[in-house]
Amino acid sequence: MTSPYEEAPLLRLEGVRQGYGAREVLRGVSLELYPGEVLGVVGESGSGKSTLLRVLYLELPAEGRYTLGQPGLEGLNLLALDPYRRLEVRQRHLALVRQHAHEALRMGFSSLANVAEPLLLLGERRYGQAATRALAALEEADFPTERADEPPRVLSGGLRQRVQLARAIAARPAVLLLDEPTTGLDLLVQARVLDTLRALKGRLGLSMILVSHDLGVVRALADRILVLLEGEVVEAGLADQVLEDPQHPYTQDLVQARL
Amino acid sequence: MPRLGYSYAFLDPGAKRELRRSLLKAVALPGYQVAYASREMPIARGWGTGALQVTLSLVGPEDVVKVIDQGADDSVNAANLRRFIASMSGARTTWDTLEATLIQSRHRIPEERLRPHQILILQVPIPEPLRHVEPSEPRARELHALADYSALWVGLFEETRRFRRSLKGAAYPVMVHGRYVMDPSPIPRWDVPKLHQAPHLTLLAAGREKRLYAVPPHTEVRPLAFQDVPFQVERVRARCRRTGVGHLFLNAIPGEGGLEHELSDTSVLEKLRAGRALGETYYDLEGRFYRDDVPV
Amino acid sequence: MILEVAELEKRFFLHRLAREVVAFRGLSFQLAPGAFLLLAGPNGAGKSSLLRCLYRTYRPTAGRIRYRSLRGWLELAAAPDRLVLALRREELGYVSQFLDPRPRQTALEVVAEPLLWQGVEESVARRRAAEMLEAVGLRPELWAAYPTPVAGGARQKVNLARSLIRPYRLLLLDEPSASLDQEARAALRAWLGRLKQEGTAMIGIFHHPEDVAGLVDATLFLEGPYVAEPSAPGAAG
Repeated sequence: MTSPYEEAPLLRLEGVRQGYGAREVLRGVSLELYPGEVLGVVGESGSGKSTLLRVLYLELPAEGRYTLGQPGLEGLNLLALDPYRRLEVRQRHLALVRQHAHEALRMGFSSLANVAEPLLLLGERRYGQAATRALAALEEADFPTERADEPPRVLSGGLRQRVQLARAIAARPAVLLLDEPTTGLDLLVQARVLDTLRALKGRLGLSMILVSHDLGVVRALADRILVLLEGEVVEAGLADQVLEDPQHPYTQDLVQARL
Repeated sequence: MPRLGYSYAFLDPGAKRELRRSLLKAVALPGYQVAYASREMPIARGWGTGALQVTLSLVGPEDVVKVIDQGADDSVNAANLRRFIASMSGARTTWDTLEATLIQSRHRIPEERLRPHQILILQVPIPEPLRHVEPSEPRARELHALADYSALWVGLFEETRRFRRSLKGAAYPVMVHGRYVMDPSPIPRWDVPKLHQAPHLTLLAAGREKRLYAVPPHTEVRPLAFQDVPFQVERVRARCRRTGVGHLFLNAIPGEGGLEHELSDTSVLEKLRAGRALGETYYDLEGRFYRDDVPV
Repeated sequence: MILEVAELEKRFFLHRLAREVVAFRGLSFQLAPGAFLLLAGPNGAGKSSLLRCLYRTYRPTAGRIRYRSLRGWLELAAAPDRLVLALRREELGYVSQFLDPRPRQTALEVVAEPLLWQGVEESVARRRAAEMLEAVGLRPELWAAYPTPVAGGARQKVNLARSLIRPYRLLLLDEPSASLDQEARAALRAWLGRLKQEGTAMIGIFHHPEDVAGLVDATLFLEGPYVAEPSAPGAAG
């Protein structure tokens, strides 16, 4: 436990609560994400997975502490920021891939423009640069670039997810948040999107938090897994450990339910 | 003499006070849309009621008022407004841009350069530059508050990608004082550079939408544009059929041999026809803008 | 020594069945760099579970695993997840019986992947992957094929090549030779011999003694399973 292993976490949640009383959705969630790793969050519908992700994306207010180990943000509780700063932090450091592409994309604009948006938002004022970088991001997301000018409206579900993915990685966020990124896609398409995610993890060393109810998806990507039950973390550990030697009764059931 | 039986300049004192207060706020927050209580006026909404209220709240007996409609002093609408303002305030009226102290205008900024003592009041149909990208008014206000103009940039990106330039002809969005994006009212792109670091005060008002905003003197006004695809004004290879001028903004008019062109600014047109000297114009004879830090 | 295991114990509590299964208990042994420890015992004796505990796929229930990493002595049994991940990336290897199915990747890509993760340049990684596949004796026409549908033996060769492509300080071998043909087993034997020479400590399960002939320094015999609650077949195997 010498220094090289004691790297600071990239992202840390401490005792985060969301909602009130009987409607409390997150009941004191703590977690850490380290540079270059993929953290999988599993749990059934209603366990608070998506809420957790929205809190992480600074989209929902919550109590507790949320810090990012990024220059200029050290020791700053992001949950206590004013909306203006919160948006700034989100735009500069975070990206979210949603389950439903239409909630994240401008369906009428071209795919390329959608991918360029985060770059423009961060102040890219050269059209050529924005277009080149957006095209590169589409390529990284294995999107057929000859279709870059088509709007997501006319694209298939799988391609829409790729546009979302390209948009998410275009500005190289510190943390990529994925909310059921393959749910609702055909099996084959699902598999291909997963391949892309895995390739991105390897190539770009992206740090990700992946929320999914599909253990197969989580298994394929995650280094560590967190099990969420009724807004609480009931188990956390190495991905293979949680899946092969689950400790909590709920996790054992979840793993058993896999086949 | 102002007309009897009405408050001076038509508006009651309370209305004027409220308007002036809103104008002060607008001047203090360049480009920010201030809500105000738009009054009923004896002309229809959408015909310049907003600018008319602003003009009436500012006008005094010593003022010289000019009203133009797309550059023309002689249109029915401009003439009506001018007479109304004059009869309600006793102010003198003029066609000459240089002589005027208050200029109410629909969709044009005069070609002769305005000076510090002049106030330009523009009629605005749609004050919200985000209207076509964000139909929800509360949400649009939120985007302004957060200075989140990504939707406009995405739109510009898209047009640049497809047509290699912006398609926006009139009402080209501008960033005012590096903070708020503003609709400069449907002035042609030709007029947009005239707002940047202008020595005069510009007030913009939309009566129907109950919003007014301002560009104070010497304020930075930059059209939204990419560095590598610069903003450009309209260029027409034509000459005015009555004066032969080709370096100022021309209206296209259907004539016998197809489209003919005529100077849009009647003040300039009349001066040239009468052989009188023009004041300094924003564009020189080569079509160069008078400030070289302004891309056109 | 590179590894000192003391009083190690692994129990599984199956909540749904309200039953506890002991995979092994009271295990103590030591291992020196370059030493080879063979695990022996009947099916269900906890051999695999022991390897998995050392790799931390299983959480040890009690006992200590002292491991001397490049950075000094560590307590593996209680090491934080981050540390375990780092060790797996850098010095701890685990070769399983089966290739984790990795669809839509050719054999060459599967083998090269661990190098790419380490930041090795792609062309270099592919060349070394090819060398590795050659060493385990996979027919070149299968290199560009997806390993999933090919025969078990070929798939296991891919697995071996992937597992052995980079060096380790401690290598855990869970019946890696089970489905291999004679030729490949001989190649594996030679490869392990070389690793031993280089100082890699190994703990392995092998059903054919000839696969590790001349390599074994010590044998640990496991007897389990120990069933604490109503008797049941071992859940640990």
